[in-house]
Amino acid sequence: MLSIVLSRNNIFLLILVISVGISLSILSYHYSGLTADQIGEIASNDIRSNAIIETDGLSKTLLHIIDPVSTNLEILSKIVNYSNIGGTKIIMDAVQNSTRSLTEGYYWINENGRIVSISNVNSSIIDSYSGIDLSNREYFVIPKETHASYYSSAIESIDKIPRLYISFPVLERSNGDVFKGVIVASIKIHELGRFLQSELAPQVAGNVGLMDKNGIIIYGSNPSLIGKYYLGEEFQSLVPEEIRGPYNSLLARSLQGSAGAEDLILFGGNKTTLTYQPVFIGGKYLWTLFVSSPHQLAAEVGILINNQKNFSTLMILIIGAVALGIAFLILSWNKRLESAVSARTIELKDANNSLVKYNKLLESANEKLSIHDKMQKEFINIAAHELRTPIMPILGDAIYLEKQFEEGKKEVKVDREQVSSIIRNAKRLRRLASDILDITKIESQSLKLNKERFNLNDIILSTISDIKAQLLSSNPEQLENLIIGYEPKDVFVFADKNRITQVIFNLLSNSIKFTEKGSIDIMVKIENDSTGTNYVVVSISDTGQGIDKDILPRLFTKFASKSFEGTGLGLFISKSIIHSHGGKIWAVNNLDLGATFYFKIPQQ
Amino acid sequence: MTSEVEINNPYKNKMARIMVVDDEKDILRIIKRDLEITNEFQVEVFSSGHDALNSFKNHELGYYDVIITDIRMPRMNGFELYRHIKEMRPDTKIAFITAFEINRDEFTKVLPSIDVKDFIIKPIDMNDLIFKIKSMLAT
Repeated sequence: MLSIVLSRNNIFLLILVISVGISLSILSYHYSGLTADQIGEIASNDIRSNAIIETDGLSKTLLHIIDPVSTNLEILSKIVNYSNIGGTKIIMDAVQNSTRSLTEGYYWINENGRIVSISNVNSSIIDSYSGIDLSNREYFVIPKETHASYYSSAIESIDKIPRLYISFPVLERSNGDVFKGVIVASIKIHELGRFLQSELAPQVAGNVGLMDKNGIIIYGSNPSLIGKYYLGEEFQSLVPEEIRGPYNSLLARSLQGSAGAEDLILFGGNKTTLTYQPVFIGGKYLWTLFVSSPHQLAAEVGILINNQKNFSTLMILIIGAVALGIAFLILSWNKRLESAVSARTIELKDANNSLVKYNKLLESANEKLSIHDKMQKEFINIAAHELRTPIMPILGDAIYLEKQFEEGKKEVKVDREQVSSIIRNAKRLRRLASDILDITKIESQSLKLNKERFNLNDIILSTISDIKAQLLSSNPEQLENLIIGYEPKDVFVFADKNRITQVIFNLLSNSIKFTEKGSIDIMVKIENDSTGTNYVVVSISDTGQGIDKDILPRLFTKFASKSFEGTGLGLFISKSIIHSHGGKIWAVNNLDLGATFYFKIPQQ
Repeated sequence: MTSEVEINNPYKNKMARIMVVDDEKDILRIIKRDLEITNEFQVEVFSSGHDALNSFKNHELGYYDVIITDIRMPRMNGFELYRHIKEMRPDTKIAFITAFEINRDEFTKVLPSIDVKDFIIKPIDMNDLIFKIKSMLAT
């Protein structure tokens, strides 16, 4: 899962992209909406004006096709000759041929309402019709009464085909306009309608209707309504409830003989322009021609534009999404870069850390070296001090004695002190030499033990006597003020006799060094631990100045001495000897005075 | 060399009194004997800084002509003794003797407050010590 941590800049960039996208979408949507409405309006206007022009044109066409019929009828009505029926029929046939696209036929009816002749029909068929009394038909009655031409409404005949009849009276003018019958033209309304419909420009895409001045529908797209009154039940039942009012009032207005065009919202919310145009035939208002032009095109244009709008919105959305995607890609790329950079940074940091660590190691190594160096220097210093100090009295006495020989004496008097001093200081040098040797052995881990069974009591007693003898020679005054307490007791131990002697000597001389006066008590006891091993514990307790608390933690390390004589190596050597025996050495300050040193080693 | 110093020595007819301080009694014995044998010096020895300081306090100004002290001594070391004495008598002539492996530069670096004119390394050649004391007396 790609997770993106958005930085301040990234959020800014995102917001910018999103806001630009949204503004573009809104702008485009708004503009498209505007255009759609405008184009819809323009298309509607166009349709409306087209419909008006079309209806006007259509009414003229209607006139144009009705006019020849009227003319023919007028001519026929004037030329019919009862004495020459055959000749008249020839003319009637010719007339019918001239208007046959519209007219079904021309009929000659005498003053009694009987058919005299029918165009394009042979005489035998005419004879079969001659018995039919047509004197009650409107196209006969009205011209007879008015002596004027008659234009019928849609009339359904026996054969259920609606027809339109136009009739002209045959008048004998010589005798003061005597009614002599009628000439009738019958027009199949379907033919008329088809003709009008075919004459309608295809872009209008509408329907043609024809209604007479009384409100009877002559022609309409629904054939069942032909011949019906517009306010009648059949028609009204087909007019939707919601538009019935405006629709009826429109039709009513159209019956006043004026032209007009009105927009109606018809079925399914489709806008339709209903154009009406009065048709005047022979100077009289007879019919009204209707053309209904649904705004299908406008709606389609609207839909098209809406589609365009949706498409452009979609495009904007896609562009926005792509932009967003690119932005995310850039961001994630940045992120990846960042993470790469941070990875590199971490690596660098690690490298740096290891360098720092390495440096620290170097530093500590250097420190160790410098500590070692310091220790080395300290050792050299102490060694130098300890080496030089005893040389001076030895050399001093020896030179003094030699000088006396140089003055010519054969014998030189040497006193006890001079000899003691030489021995004492020579021993000191020897001790130092052996200490240095021991340290070398300890540090090279070649300190070897020569274990044997011996009586610890013996070596403690001999060490005490050695120490006392040494003290008698170096500091007799201190010896007088010092009590070394020990209760002799035989304790056998298996260990390196010389090394244990060395330890006891070191501890005892250490105590004496820090105890100007008072007492030193040596105690030996046997202890056993949980494993059943017996240990010999030796303690040397003094009443001296105690152990300096700065020194205490590193008491058994090299040069850890507050003494002003000795190498500071004694306790270190002692510890190493005891450890190599598998024992332990430690020291505590006494509660009252001085300190106590302990060591314990396994008895066997 | 020795004769020249002797000629210029204003104390020629008077024995110079030398204080020697060292915790090593064998060394004190040797120095005292070897200096006094020349009949030019009267030597008083002390085995601790405290004893030496007490004696210094208990005597009048100029009683000791030269003080020679060890550095490494228990309780009061040579530097402490030097400071105490210099506080009382800044013009007192003091020399150090030491068995340490140290030279004058290192010494000055470690303890800049101490003006070390004379600095004698053990083991001391007695002829050198006598010469050093005589030159100190001459300044």
